[in-house]
Amino acid sequence: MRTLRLAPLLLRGRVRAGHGLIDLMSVAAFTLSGWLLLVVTAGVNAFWNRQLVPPAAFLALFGDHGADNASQLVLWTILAACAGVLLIVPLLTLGAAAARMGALGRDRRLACLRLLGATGAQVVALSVIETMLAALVGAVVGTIGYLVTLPAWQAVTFQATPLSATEMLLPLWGIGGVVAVLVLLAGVSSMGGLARLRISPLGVARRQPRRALKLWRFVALPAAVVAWVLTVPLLHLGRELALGAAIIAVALALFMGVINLVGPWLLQLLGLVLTRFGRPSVLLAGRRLLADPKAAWRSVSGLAFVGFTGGALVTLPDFAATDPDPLVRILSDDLRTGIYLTLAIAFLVAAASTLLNQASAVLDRRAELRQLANVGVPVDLHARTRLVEVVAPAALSALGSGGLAVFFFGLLPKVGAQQLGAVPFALALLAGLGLVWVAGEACRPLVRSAVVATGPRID
Amino acid sequence: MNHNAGRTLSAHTISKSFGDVRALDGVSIDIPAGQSVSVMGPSGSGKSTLLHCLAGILRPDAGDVTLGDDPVSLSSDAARSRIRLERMGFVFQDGQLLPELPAIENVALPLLLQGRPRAEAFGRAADWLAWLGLGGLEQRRPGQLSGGQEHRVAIARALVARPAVVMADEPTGALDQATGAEVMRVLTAATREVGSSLVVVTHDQAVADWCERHVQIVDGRVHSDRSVAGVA
Repeated sequence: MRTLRLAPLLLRGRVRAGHGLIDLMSVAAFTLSGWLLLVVTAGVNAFWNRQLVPPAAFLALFGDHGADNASQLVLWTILAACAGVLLIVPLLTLGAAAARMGALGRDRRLACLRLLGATGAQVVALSVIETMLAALVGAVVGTIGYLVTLPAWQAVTFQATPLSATEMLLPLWGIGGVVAVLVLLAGVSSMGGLARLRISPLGVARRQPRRALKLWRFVALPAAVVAWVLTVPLLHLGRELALGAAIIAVALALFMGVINLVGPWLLQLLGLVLTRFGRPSVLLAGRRLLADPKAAWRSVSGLAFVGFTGGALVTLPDFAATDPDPLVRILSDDLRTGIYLTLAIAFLVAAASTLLNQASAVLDRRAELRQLANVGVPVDLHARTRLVEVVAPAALSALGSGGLAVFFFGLLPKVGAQQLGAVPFALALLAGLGLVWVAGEACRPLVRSAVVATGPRID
Repeated sequence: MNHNAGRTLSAHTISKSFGDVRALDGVSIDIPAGQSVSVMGPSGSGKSTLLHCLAGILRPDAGDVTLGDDPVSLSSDAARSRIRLERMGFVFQDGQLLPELPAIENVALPLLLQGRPRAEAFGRAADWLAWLGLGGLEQRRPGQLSGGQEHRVAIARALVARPAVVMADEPTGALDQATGAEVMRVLTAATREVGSSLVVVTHDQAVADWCERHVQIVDGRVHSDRSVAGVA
């Protein structure tokens, strides 16, 4: 109860004291995650509803056989669910990044409150309440954005029928559910972050020093590859389409999990390699990667997803040109539309994630940056370091996950059509890396403001 | 006025080590209510560790700390938090104020944490700020105050809940000599006003001279302990 009384006081103070920019970025990230979570959920819901009541235009394509082909609509629902599964991890990562961003600068305050006599539970509760409030504000703004942009979905056609605003509108309980999930996840993420800290009256410290990531993380990759090689021959997409597609969806989720497991370990290895170089920027970047490979991975995990989706594009069969069956043609067109749509959402998430993590990293290192500037380190060194520190892991993660996607989808049975080719993948990859570079450059003013000494005291 | 009479802060043969480093080695000390004590010693002598053990921030490895009937060092983390909240006040080198809160909210914070009504908390905070010559600066945040003013806000916050003991760790470390002297004058006057004991850890003899009793710590042990007559 006392904690609830203090929360608004501290929140107001934070806004007044100019932490507004940090909080604004955090809320903006929650807005984006909220909006996109609603869009993804609404998309799956729309395909589900079309499966129950097939669109007239779709049925008309097959003349008298419309009812027979209507049963195939389940495929769209499953594919939409697959896209949802693929998007959920980066969306949650973005939510977690937003929660971390919101927690910046709280260390000193938490320690101070502990010194005054607040209990550990009270300071944790205060932080969690603040994060959940930011998530709620973000989710509400995201909901407004989702509602306002509903008519725009008419421009997108699936199953020979444009999506309508009504179809994309979730029921009220659905919207409430998505908002509640986002707010709850933000709270859990915040609590998880604080659980790793020891908040004593003398300051905030990690409960235990970071340990080097173990080799078993890497072992997960060959294990997943072998498991997939053994599973694919058992898939009979022609006969048991729904079961096969469900297995693919689960395998996709597992592969995304494996990428998230292996990625930090590979970045740790990359860091080790970079520390062998003598250039200060490369050495510094290597040391930073080694110091916290998981944090480095969080910065680029959005790009890993883009790489994975881009890899999927390489292997996507292009039935449309050759197959006379209208169902195959529509499915092919819709698959491409779906993947481009998924890729667009992934780009948005990756952009926000990268920017947020980069900004967090700069703000986290304010004191270090200022000390380095004081001893004469040029500001440009930080830009060069950031370039190595971010672009090298981004390239590794995007290429690695892209390669994995080529392997994953390449093993699936082909229906004998030509592939879309590597050009879309290369474009997606280049755009992704460019995005990381732009996000890094966007933080340049933040670095400059961090190294500028604080204003004179009033003494 | 003096509701803290008879509340002695006592440490009984406390020891504390950090790895192989023995910071405190069987220190015993009794600080009667209302007394001001300086704890001096060279860097690394264990004086700050002693303060942190007395305040229940650190737990000694051996021995115990009591405040009146309250077992400070043997209490749980939550109970030690309660003791700090209700019976202790703190003034540290950098003020330890919350940078985002204006002066009045910083001062009212201990009372709000205790669950006192908002009007009472802000009223008492305003009284303390006025008493310390900060009337009119209630809405300024720490960054908008001078170093001396910031320390006076910290003193107000330390005393607003009328604690039994005020702990001060290098309270003038970041200040020039004149401002430091002014802060010590205010700090000793304010603790006298409330009847609180005052424990000041310092390496500065001029700061120690404001206290009635001087304890010297060397290599984690009490090297000397003497009272001084005629302190201002």
